[in-house]
Amino acid sequence: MTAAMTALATGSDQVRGASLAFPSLFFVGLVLFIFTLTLNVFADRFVRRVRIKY
Amino acid sequence: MSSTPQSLAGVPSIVYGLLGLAVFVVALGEIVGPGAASGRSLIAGGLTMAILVLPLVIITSAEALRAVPAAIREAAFGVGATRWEVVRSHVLPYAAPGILTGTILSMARAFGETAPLILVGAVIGGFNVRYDNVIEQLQGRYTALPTTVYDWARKPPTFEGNVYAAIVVPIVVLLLVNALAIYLRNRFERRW
Repeated sequence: MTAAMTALATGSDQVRGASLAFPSLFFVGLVLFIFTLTLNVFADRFVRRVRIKY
Repeated sequence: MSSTPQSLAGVPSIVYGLLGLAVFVVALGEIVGPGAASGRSLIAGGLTMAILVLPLVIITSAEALRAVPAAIREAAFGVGATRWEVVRSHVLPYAAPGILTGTILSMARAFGETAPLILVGAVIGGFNVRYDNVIEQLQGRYTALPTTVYDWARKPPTFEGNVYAAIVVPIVVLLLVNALAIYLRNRFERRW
């Protein structure tokens, strides 16, 4: 997804001007963010459950 | 410690690039890079990188601060030091090598970033402009070495030699920076 976004951003140097490139850039970014956030939340929960308290 | 910095450190760097694009380039564009740069200026890229490494710095610093033994704090409090005095003269000196190492390593991470800079608007490939003063330079366009390497790698095979030559520079600098971090850690490390 990073590659897609870079390609999108480099294809038109004027990222701001393009009509659809700009919103889609943010959409892909949002998907990526939500993806990693859920992974992090699950990992955090798992660590909390498994960690041994001294 | 809350898990927020940890989660933020796991976010892909390009998301920070998007953040920089929305905040620094578009929203603050008039301040950050007026005129021809239209927001895609050196200072916008720098601020984006700063936000990118912030969670890493927070995590490593918190870890270094937590590694200071409680006995040291308690001894300082027991002698009658105020909270700030304890932090200033006891906790910080002991945590300093850890904080320093963490900061240097975070900087090394930022050094190799390409994708967020491309989003925030680093010039792809070389460019040749002379700026008269620092302010103008900060508000003008810029490029970064990884971005240039990225551009050359997409070009026809004539640039292949350039790619390999250019990528050696970041590798050497990163090795040097990491060696410096290890040296500083070994030098200032204390044992209790």
